[in-house]
Amino acid sequence: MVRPSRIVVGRPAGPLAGPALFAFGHTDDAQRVAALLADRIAALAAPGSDAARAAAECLAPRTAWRRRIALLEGALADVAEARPDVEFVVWDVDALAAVEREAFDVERSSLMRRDLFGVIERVAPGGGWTLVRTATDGGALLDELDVPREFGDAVGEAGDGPGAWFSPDVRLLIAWLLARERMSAGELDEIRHTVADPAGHLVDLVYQEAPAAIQDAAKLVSALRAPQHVNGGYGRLRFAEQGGVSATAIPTAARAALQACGLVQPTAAPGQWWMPRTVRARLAGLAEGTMPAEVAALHVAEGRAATPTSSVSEVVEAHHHAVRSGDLDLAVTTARYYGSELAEVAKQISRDAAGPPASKQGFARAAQIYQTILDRFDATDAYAWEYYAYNLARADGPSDEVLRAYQRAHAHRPRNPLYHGRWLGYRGQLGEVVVAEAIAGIREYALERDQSRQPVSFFARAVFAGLDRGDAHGQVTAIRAACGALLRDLAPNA
Amino acid sequence: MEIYVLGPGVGESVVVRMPDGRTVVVDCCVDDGTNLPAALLDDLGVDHIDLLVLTHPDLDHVRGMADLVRRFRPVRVWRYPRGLLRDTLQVLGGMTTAAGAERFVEARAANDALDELLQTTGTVAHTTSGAVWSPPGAGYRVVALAPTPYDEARAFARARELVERARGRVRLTAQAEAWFSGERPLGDLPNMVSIGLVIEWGARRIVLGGDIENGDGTPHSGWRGVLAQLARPDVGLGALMDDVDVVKVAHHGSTGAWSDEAWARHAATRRPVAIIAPYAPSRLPTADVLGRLRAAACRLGITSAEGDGAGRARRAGWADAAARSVPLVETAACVKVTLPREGDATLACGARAAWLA
Repeated sequence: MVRPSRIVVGRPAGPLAGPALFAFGHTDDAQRVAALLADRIAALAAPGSDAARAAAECLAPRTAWRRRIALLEGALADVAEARPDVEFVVWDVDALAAVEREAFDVERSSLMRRDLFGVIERVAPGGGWTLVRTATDGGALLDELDVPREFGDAVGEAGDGPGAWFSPDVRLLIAWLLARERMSAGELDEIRHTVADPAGHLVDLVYQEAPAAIQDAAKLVSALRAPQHVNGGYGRLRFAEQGGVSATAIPTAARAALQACGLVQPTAAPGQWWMPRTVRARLAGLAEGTMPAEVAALHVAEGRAATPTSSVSEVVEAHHHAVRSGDLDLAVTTARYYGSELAEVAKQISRDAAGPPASKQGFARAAQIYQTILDRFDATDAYAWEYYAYNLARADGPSDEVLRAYQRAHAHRPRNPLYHGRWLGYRGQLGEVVVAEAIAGIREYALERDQSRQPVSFFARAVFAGLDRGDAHGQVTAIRAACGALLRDLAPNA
Repeated sequence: MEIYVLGPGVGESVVVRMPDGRTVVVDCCVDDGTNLPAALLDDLGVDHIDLLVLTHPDLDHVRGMADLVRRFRPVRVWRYPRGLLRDTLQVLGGMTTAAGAERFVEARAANDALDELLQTTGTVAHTTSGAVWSPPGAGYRVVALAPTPYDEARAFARARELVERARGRVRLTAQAEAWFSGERPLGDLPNMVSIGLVIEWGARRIVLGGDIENGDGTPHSGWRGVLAQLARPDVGLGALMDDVDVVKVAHHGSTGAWSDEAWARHAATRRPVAIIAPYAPSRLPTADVLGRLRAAACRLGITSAEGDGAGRARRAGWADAAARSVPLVETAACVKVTLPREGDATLACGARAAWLA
């Protein structure tokens, strides 16, 4: 008998039959949660079983994402059936479901999150899952999921009162604001009806009430991602009776205050805490802007925390911090299960290389990182292929290698108009006539339903840029002559 | 009740001596190195402030505030909702050296002083429409008119737009750069969070309009929003805007802050006394507002001759009126209204100020 799955809105009231796996809305969510699920399967599956083998392969760094997702789906179903005494718990599952499609030039993690959520969507109705909804921006995907719903503690705390309309992750904030008479029930209603982002505004209201030391502690915690079992979710931060906020410590009083006002909230496990995505998203940028030294030191300290004996959950969070620290060696060292996040380091190096003045060495270094991702991790990573080519081209790398890389990116993600356009553009730059393909591409992308993402514009601009670099002005003229109306309508800046 | 409006041409502060001897101070300004409200409080023999209101973080309302806070240790403070302003100022402070940065230096100093006070006394409150201070047995109440929750959120969102993350780093947005370099006016951003007040004492009502403007035109914003907020059933303060005795005209008499709806309420059955602290660089008050006031107010006090506000008033049909003098040299850019519980108000003004009728 498989344990029935459930969606819990708010914090689950009782104990969970498994550790909660947190989604944060960060770029690494899909890879990280997939690794954590594989780790859980490895712990639960019978040794030598198909599920155990699948888990091991999932955790192997060279396993391609598509393969990983396929393995995971089968193994999850097997374990749920074999182990009705346990469950898989995803906390803030809306972070996986509520994915705005990224723009074509940065399209990377949203597709992976969709893949992972697709797995959950297919296996959860079969049993063995608790999906915790702390925010409700996952919308239709979760509403339509064929899994029964129940309400947790945080919902009960708001009761039928004025906070009932809001998502669980801000209800503690509401309760605090009301208790302090910073806000009346009538004002809350006013906020709900008139403010564009009511939940975010409530975070602002709570934050502004806090004394400076507590604000600084909140910002520092917003930059921190630590496994729940490490210091209750506070990672390596010490709690100091005296002194202010530093990269390694926050005042004990600040911790208590953060927890009291709801900026940091309890999980289902006693003594373990987390900062909700709504709060984290609001404060993380401020942390980088106002306390860059402390945040950088925090990332380095957490990035260095992984040891050879660290658990998967410890390593994936250390890797996140290593990537954020910008320390390439540390990032590569901690990339034990996946390497796609190294793209974040490469991206920064590439942006710096763009100057002014432009730096071919910088582009070459970025290309090298993307090559590392492809060689040592996932050879099917379309994003890595694309930006390997892009940076290699700007570093005056061998044109045949650039061309091969652009082609691979397009092959692995044929529906990305930018990748397609750059491939064509580069071929045109090298002297090939691509007019017919470009015209066909423009007409094809003009049929895309989601024109808000401007597929024609991404495609055409990339093609024209390549042709211009190759002085192939005749080709540009021919394409414009054939597609003038479409370009005027759908790609006015091309 | 004595109401002093101080305004040297750039800067505005209001000092109210309440009938029970308590003191309310709204904003701060400096004239030629003299902290005007501080000098006035010294002259009046006041050693502490009972309610200090910092309406919004514009330089002409915040200059000298840190000094005022430290010298007169207010018992309670109403601070405009600052949201993430502390952080924004921290970021800006490290980024800009433009002339416009003085605004942020002063605002930061004022906020730091208030944060110190918050740490020691815990009596600093971020205040929005509907907040009330009513000392037991005093017979009066002070009510915050603005900002509305909608404008508060609008201001927070706009403040976020001052800085952006680009190429992995935090920097000023192009719009913010233009603001600080003086290429573009800052617009109504600080005024979105401006607190306004109404003081009710028996049948007397005094509106101190801060820099409240007309917002974005929605029913939740600016003066329309204020009227709607006060009328909310759970607030029940709508009548406070009716038949007012004295109005400190909002935003130095700018056209964008004039509200026909609010003034129709203020002057429902009798015309109030109006007071303007000019903002000389922008030629405020405007001729338009001075003309409208001709119909809506019975007397007009202008705190300073700077910028020729009084001249524009005369051209709008106002004539000089007799008034007593305020014998305070340092606060000569000042008008004063003495309001008994019943009967006519007494008007007085400093050497640089004028009363018109």
